[in-house]
Amino acid sequence: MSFFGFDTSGPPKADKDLQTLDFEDTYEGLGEHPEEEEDAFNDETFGADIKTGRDFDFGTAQPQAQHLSYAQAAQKPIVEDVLKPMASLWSDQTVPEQQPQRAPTSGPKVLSLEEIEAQLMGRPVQPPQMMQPQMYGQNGYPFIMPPNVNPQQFQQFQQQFGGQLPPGFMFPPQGYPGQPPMFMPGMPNQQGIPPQLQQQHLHQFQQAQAQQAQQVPAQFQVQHGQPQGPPQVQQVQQQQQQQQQQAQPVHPQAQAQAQAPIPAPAPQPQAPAQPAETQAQAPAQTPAPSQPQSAPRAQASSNGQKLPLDEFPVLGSASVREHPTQPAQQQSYQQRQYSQHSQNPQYLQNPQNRGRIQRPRQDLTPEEREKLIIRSNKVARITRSSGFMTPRDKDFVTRFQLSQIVSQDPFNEDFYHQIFKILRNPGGGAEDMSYIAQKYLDQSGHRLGGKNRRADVALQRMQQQISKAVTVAKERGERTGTLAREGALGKVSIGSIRQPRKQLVVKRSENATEDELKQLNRNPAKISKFTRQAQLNIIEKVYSILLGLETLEREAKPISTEELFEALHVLDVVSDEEEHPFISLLGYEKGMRLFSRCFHLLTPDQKNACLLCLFGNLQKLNVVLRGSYKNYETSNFVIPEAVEKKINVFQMTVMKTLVLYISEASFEQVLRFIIELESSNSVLFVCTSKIGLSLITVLISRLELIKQESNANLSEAELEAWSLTYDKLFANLEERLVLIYPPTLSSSKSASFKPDDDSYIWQFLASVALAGKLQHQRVIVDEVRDEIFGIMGKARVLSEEGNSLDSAKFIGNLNLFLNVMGLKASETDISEL
Amino acid sequence: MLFFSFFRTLVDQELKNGIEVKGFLKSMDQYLNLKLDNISMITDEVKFPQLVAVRNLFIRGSMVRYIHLNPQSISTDLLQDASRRGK
Repeated sequence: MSFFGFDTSGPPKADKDLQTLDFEDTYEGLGEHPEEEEDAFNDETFGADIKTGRDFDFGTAQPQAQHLSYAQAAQKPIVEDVLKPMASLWSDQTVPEQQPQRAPTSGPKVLSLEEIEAQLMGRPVQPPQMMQPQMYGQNGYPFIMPPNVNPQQFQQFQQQFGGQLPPGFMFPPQGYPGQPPMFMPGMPNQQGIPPQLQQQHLHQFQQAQAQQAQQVPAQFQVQHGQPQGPPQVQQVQQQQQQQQQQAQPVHPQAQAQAQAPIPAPAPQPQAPAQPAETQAQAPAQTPAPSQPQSAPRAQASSNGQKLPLDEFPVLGSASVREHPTQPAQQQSYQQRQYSQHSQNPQYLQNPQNRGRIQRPRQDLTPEEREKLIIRSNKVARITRSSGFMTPRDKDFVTRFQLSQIVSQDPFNEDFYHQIFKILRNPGGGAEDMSYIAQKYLDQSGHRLGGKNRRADVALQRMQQQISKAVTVAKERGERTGTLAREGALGKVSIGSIRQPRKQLVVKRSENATEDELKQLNRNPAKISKFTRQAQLNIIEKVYSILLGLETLEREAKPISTEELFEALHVLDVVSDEEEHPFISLLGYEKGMRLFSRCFHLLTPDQKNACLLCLFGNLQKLNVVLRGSYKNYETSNFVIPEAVEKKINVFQMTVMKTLVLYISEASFEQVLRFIIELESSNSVLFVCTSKIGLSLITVLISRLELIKQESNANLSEAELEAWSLTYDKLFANLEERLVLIYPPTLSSSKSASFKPDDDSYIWQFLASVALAGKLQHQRVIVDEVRDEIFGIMGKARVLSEEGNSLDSAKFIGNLNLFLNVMGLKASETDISEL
Repeated sequence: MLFFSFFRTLVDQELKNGIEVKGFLKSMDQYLNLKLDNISMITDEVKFPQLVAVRNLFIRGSMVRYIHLNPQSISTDLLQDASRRGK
């Protein structure tokens, strides 16, 4: 068997003159002795490592016994503790052992160092062997380096060897720095040796055997009848284990020898194991300050040797078994190990290691192999920095990032985003933890749990982290603000998405705050309710109340609109000269939008009050007041663009809301509105504005609709009241009906051919005609006859010009009115339907 | 924080920064750092030749002067509401 390319069959070919020892040559055939059959209890009687077939002359056979012990140990089974030699047989053995040592030791001692040096220099071809001498020095030459030699000497010895290592030499790269502690704790005591160490000894022994075969003079070996060449590996291993076990009883002796006057070391063959043991244990147990160099080197080399490569995946898989439920952790653990290897290029260059990385493809052509190397190098480069963070670190970073993003109350703190999503993507707006997690996974681009599988598991983990993150963020939110220090301008604050770190926080004393607030409050009190500032203030106040209510509404919580109604100032009583605050709100575009948003929240009573207020002050309404053409006599009755825009917004927001509400209001309600309108406004003025006219149209139409639909349900009094109101209204307009036509639209006064926007006038006339009796209709037609014929004339011209579309539009608008009376207009004449 | 919330909705929007870059907003964080994809230069490429070949960018939020947005993708009413809530 060869390990790391070491040739166990014999000495290197370079030293041809050294005698080659062959197993067959040295084997004495002892195992074939017939009487072996009756040796069943020899082990118990004599111990395992006693050379059979020889006398027990330990004095002369000492160096040989060292080797014999290994060979004989192989005969013993591994479960050997019980098979210790009888104490009585061995107790007095130490005495003869110690005496004759000197003779054999002196020879090899001088030679060995130089010889090893020479071999080291002469054989660069076999790198695995090069680190052996160190071990060899400890093991193979027990007499040179006994366990009780003083540390300085030992260190010096090792340094010598260290200096002889070729400069480019490196120890096998899988020096798992984190791993020795992993098995070291498993050692029961100093003598107990983990399996890895036993392997180490195995190899040491192999080396020792081979080298000794070269170096020890042949006659010396022959004289002592060294019977075995390099034994078979398994045998050796067994021997080794046995040796370890036997080393224990010997150890105290070695200690005792340390005090002996003679520096001669332990004669026992087991003794050499001691330095190796202590050596290997040193890094794990004590820092071993006296051996600063030797300790790490021994560790590295022993790692390189003793850890068979095949054990690597076993270690990894052991961790897999430990954490079967944590695939990510396992993955990263293996990755980390891999990256450690990949950081060391030698690991990849080592064919065995490469074979592991690409284990399934071991039989490859050179080109494929080349590709494989390139690829694995690439992988190594990519993964060079991977595995620096433990799963814990990653979790921490993820949580930290999430805590910035995630909020407990997304509708409050991430309002725009949340609502926007609902608006743009109705139905899919349900925002939950999994969405955030998914989003985060998408954005950060890291997939927990691999490519496709386990995405759900990863999501779950993320969700757990999110809930953790929310907690963290919440706690931090409570903490912030408490760090402000008295007298300091700034404060220690942690920025978050919701509370960006403030550059400057000035802490005001409590008393000053109250005073300042009073000061601040005094000023608004002076501001008139009727200034623009006050009106805008009202709107903002309503807005903030509204937003609060809408949040409650979203959460399906009960709403109280009292505050909102109060803020609208609907019930305020003001003098005639002053503008009603509620009406003034509707003068601003955002006020109009605000009205349509908060109207549906109000209770029916509050809605009613709003509309009464609105109709009661209709002529003061901005869009009516400014929207009347009468204001613009100087500018040819053209309504300014800004006002036009406001009117449009009003139509889109407030009018829409009002029409919707009125179309479902009761007869009585609508009647009240129109009475209110009539009694407190100049109906004629209101009618000169588009909005005013439209509102009156809506009211009249609704009343007529209810009246015709459910005549029986209406009381006489109501019908009477409506009839009176209508008469009053009509009396207001009678003989001045033409005024409702803005000069810009009046077909009789203006040459405008714009077909737009006169429909509201015809609608108004239609509703008035509908509600009126025949005599009313006749009056109306009489008064607007010029307009009717003007429109017909325009339509005719347009039609002749080929613009039949606009022509038809004019006629269509006109017919809105005429149809009510059973008439129908064309471009040329008016006929009955 | 309104800005963050706002920009979160603007994925796929057109942006320009100091050197005037146009691209799709990939993502952004609470510091308003931006990640743009498929960028193209608006300012002349002779001036910034180093950016011609760049396809995506990460811009530190503090370095951005303006962000031009497509009006169609913004709900102004909502933005107003959100601003009001931001107090």
